[in-house]
Amino acid sequence: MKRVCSLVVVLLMFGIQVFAQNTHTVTGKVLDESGLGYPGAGITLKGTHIGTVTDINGDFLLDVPDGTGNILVVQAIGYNTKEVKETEQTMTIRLQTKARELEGAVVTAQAIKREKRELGYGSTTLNSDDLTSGSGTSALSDLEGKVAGANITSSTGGPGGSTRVILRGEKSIIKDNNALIVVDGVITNNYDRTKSDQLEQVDFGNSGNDLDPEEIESVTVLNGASGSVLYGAAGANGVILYTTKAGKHRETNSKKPTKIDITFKTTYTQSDILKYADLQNSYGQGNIYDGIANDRRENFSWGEPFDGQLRPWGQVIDGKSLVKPYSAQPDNIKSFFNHGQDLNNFVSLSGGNETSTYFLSINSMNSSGVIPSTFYNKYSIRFNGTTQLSNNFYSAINVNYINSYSRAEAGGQNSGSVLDNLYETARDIPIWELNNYNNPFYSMSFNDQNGIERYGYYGAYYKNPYWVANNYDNRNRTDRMIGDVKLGYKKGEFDVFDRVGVDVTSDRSTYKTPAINSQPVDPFYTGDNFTNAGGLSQVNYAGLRLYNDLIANWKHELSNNFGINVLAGHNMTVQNDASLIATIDPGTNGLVIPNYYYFTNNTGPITVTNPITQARRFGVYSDITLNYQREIYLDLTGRNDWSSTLQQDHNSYFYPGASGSWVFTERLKGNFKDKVLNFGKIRAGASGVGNDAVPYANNTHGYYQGAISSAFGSIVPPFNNQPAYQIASTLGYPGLKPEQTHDYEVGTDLSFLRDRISVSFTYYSSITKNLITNVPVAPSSGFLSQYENIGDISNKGEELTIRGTPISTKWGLKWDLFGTYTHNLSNVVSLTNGLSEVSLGGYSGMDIVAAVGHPFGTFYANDIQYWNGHPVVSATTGLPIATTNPVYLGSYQPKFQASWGTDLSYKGLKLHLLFTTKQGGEFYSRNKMDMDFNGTSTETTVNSRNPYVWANSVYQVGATTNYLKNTTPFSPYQYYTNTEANLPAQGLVNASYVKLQEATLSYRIPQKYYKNTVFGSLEAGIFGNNLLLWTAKSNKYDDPSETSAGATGNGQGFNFTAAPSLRNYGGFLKVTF
Amino acid sequence: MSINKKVIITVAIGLALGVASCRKFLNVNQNPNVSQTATVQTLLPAAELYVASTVGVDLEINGSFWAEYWTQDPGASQYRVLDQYAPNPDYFSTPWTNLYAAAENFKQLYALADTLHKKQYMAIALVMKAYTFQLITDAWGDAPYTQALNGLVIDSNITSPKYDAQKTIYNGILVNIDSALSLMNTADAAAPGPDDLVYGGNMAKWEKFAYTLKLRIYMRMSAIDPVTAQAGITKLYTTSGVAFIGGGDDAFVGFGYSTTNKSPLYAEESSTALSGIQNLVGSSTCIDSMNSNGDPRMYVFYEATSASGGGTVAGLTQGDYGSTTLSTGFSIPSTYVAGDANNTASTNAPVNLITSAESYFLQAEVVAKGWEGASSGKSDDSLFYYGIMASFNYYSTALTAAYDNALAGVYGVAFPLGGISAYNDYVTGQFNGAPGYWTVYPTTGTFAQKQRFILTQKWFAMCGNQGFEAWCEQRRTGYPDFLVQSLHSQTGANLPKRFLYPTSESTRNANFPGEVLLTVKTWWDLF
Repeated sequence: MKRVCSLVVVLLMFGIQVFAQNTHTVTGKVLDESGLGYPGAGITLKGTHIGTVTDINGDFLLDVPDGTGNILVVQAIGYNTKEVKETEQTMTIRLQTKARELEGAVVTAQAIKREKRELGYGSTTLNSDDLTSGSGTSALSDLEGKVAGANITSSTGGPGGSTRVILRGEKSIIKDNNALIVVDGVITNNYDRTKSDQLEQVDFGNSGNDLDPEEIESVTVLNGASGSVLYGAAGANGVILYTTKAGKHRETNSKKPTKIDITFKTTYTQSDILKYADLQNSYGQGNIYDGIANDRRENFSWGEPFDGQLRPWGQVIDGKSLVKPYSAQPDNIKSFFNHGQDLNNFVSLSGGNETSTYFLSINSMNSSGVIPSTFYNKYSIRFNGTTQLSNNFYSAINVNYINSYSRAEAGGQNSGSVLDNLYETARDIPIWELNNYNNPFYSMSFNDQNGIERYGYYGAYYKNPYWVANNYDNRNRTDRMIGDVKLGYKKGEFDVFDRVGVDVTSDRSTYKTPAINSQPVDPFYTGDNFTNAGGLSQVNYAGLRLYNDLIANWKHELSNNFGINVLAGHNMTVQNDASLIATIDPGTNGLVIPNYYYFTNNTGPITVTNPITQARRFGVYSDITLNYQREIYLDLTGRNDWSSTLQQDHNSYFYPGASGSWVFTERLKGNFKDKVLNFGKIRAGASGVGNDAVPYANNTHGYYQGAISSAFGSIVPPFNNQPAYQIASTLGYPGLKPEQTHDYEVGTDLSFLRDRISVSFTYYSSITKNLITNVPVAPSSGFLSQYENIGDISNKGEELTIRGTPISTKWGLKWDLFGTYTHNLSNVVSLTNGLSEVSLGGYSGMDIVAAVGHPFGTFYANDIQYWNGHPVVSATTGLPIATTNPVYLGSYQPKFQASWGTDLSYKGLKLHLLFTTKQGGEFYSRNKMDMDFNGTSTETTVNSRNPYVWANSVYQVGATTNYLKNTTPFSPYQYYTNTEANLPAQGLVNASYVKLQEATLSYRIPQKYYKNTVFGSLEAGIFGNNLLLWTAKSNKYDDPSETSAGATGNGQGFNFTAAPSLRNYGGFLKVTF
Repeated sequence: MSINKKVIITVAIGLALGVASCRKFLNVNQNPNVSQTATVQTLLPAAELYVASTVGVDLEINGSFWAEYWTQDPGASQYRVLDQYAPNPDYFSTPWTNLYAAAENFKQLYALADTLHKKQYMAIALVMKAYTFQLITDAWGDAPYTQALNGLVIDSNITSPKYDAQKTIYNGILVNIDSALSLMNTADAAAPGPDDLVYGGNMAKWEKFAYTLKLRIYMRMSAIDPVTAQAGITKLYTTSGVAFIGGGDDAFVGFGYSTTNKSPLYAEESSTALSGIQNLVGSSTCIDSMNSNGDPRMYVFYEATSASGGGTVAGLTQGDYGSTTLSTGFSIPSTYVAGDANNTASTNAPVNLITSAESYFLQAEVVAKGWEGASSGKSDDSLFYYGIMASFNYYSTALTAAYDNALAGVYGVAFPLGGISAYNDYVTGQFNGAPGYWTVYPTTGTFAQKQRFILTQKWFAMCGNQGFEAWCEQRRTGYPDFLVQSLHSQTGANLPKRFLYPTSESTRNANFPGEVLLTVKTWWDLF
């Protein structure tokens, strides 16, 4: 195969050699209105697709055909498009300010630069400054609020946390729905490092966050399928195209020595928890209802009302006891957390000569988390180089090495969850005192005089959270290399290149569970022991993504009026994933010597699995663009893919696309165009994208040796030396068809009042058919799930971006406004085989499903029975009665999203604010259920905990269909500690919020003050991101962004005591030399 | 233009060549993570373990709660829903899934053994599949049977099997057992060895198992379909060569071979999720009656309240998890039934499938009913005492240990004799001063009176070690007749009569007939 593919390259090169045409190079500098070099301006040769982008200093270099009459079109964000005739080989071009524009160069699929006016589909392009305006920690979370049509969720918002980016709604049940992340034309491996066990989640983030925002030159987001058809199946969810920075060529014939451009940026960030739950401060430890009023062992806050009297608490050790006033500790949970700190340094060096450029950057990020002992460190190095070879050949190389090392604490319900152990604390416990767990009263493990292991900690059911944070140790270490090499040949109208891209990851996560076997000191605690044999689990993951792209492009002016661009390409993809997962499970096994975490240190067999998956794809595609007088554009695309994951007789699938645009303002003249509507375009597109199955989905069955599990325990064979193999519970299906997404969109881009106001609007409708899912089947079939083409999902919505410049003065004051609005309506259209829903995730009675007639991600659980809108309660107890079957509840999908931003600048001083909001939608909060159960939530104090009548409730009269108004009060204690557990729907909370996403105040010191120094520019600022949060009044619990499902899990909207989200703020200094 | 054409043709040829050679490139979709084949020696233990795991964990817990051996420990909350009689359908998800997984693996074993002509494996697969389906239908009533287990493409890919009436399933499994018996050859060299975790390939014992299972099935039908039951039982007694499980033939799966082979209930309770929290505590329904009968087995099935001396065996009232008394004042189930979540000795508790005690009590009931058709040579009263003795025999080591503990003063009471001698003391009343009420069999009484004693002693014998079977028999006969309503009952005096279909089944099976309430009786339950 390889031989054949390289043969293709040779053939193409040979064919193109015939068209040798002479060119020369134009260099120049683009200056903004204050005379500073403008980085990122697009330079294109008029009437062609030949183009480049200015470097960080505003310099550019462009190969143009010999001859006179070349016209350069200069486009820069925030400035009027300028056309300049090529007069000399070194040119200086001054830009004139304008409002936000709709024209300009954008990078589209396969790193092809296009003018925005050509595009028949909606897209968003951000330059480096726009992206990093809030100094966020990742190139993904920095997109929040800036892209219409995107639903972005950063679970913690802090360093290393995961970020989910969904464009125009979820389209697949089985696959990860995240947008494809492409860096310099190479598809990257966006895998999830989060351990999302139902009972335990450790968020190490997703690999899409590895990219350093400072390395990014620009980012284009292609929301729909039409923009991404050239990426094949992988692009079905939309594409985020990052272009990294590049060096610049030295000015031709310059006598100056080659100059190195150096940029240095340092950022210090501090992080705090964004939202704490509201807790009651009226009742303390114990249980006056059903046990011992002031039970010293309790995590319950169902004790007596606070009286402020001194009381002993905790265990009696050597006849002594701790004493404290019996009063609330309003900030006891808060006191546990630290200020997170992050120091981020970035240095880049770039430069070039006539034929070569280079860009080298080094980034370090060292941060400590809000939970004691957690940290996240990341180092990355990037090298980008280009060189022009002789005979019109050119080559480029991009290499990015990333190393990250982090420690994160578990959320969830398991005994290693720091958060669970912390939140299960009564309202009067002074948590900060527990920090010193060497003190016997706070200790989890010490040996008494008789050599017996004891604990003196007050709680009998939960462990000291500080001890948990320091002893349960979860770490992740990643080494990753992303890069590509490109060899091309460019001559006149032809450009052909072959690019090999690779993303190699070596990732290791280690989970350590400390051994403990301690008995209480105090006889009152007898029987409440802490026992855990200690365990170790390690996941070694090696991932490979290897791509080869061969792309040929031909551009031609057919006549003065018609232009054509033909692109043809082929792609080969190799995807290999292999893991080695070894576990010493403290439940079935254990460590021999405590605190020695090594796999030989075990009391029994180690569980080892080594899952391997392989997928390969092969595709050919073509893209033909026609234009008429640069006014009407037509784009036709087609692609055929062959995938290894489908049965050979139906593994080939073709999908076409077409889009067009009409710049109708070309037809307008005179004052109306000059003063009212200076640019207007309408566009429409229709396209399809095919998607294959996951590997091995068509293998019918197999046998394996695996655990035989009950709800929590398991028997792991071999059993008494007998190996035991069982049939795999998943059924493959040989006849799987590829998924097909059909996507339609219409839109318009308008600029008014000489670009003072611009509007971009898109309406889209997509339907994904033949969804492939591992759908659960009735266990009575002997199996638990089967791969099937199960149905259709549709997404419809609107995207709107508005920019305006109310004030722009000649003396430098400028005020920009910016807003986006996104509305997506997701609907599961049909499911086959009589299925009414498919589970996407959830736990503990709360399912998150794709159900027919409901949005993707609908909650499905038992709720209170309702009669004509009235809750039905028991006539005898007054307690609400649960439905016998689960019912469909709300969805995690927001009704709409919007953002609103403002930039106010005066000379170098700039104030930037960005607000984002999601309205509608719900999330499941385990914290709410837990706080209710423990009596720490505020609603447990209603009516001083005395019985009261459930609002608007009715009861059923006998077995009749008659219902009468209920007057029987219910016991809040009974409800919250008992009944509510059978009503998982009560854990749903309104997910609406408004967030101050970014606030930055920066000052770029005018160059005149340091003109003769080594400094090129100096900029400093203070910033905050994820800064302030306003939630719905009923949400007294969590930031709705927090999730236990990681970035790639489809069971979103599920907070099973997830890691808390963070507010980040700090300052930065940026210097160039 | 001609040059352009050349380019296009060149590209097209190049791409076409590439496409043609990609077939091999794409041929990487054989799943390396599973094996395409298995062996009978590896399938048998896995299938048996599925049964053992379910009988040992889910069925034991639910059965022992509803047969009132155990109740929820006030110090924890895992099984409160059982004492509330209000578990949600998903509470029953694991046993449903695992029993069908067991049956599917027995089916796979049967098919493979058939192609390899290994008849003894085929026989065991059929008997155990029948045993499994009886568990399913006794727990849930109607269930998929004739169309069940046909998920594979070669088996018609039925993913929504239709439901069969309980009677259909009963008739079907009786046929299965007959087929199995016709395949059994006690002298066949191709019999399994240690890969058979129940009998080590001893086909003579498997034959007794099959006959005893038939006895269990017929007796369960004895009220609803007495004609079929009597005919079937009479045929068993009048066919030569039929023998039932006796002493030493007990069908169980032993555990404790390694830390990953823990007794399933202990593996469950000591798991990371439940982390050794003691959820199970003895119910006073059972403990009080054992106590008043001077039954020394209460020191086997339960632990004394304090290990430091002077302890007693004391039960908590069924469903009194809100008790204000410290939970340390109550006895927890012992390590012999894997009930002590914090004692590694629990790891060795076996999971009983059919014990000799059960076999004798079944036979006693048959003889008391007069259904044997021909003289079995044993009277109902002797079989009644055999049953009790078999129970004492099965736990003789434990009784000896209890005797040693008594000598060491662990209990607040003296304990006359250890081992099997304890049986004699029990039936003669040595231990309590006078024979306990339930040890004096009404030899001349009516069948109902006799059945009351047989079933109550059967209930004692199954304490925490065959909880599900005890609950089934209690539902069938109403004995023991002193079960109480849980203090936290949410269904009043209506005690649980079945399991609920889990949502994993009800939402996925297009032929699901509808959920049935927990308090609705199953087909054979006429009591």
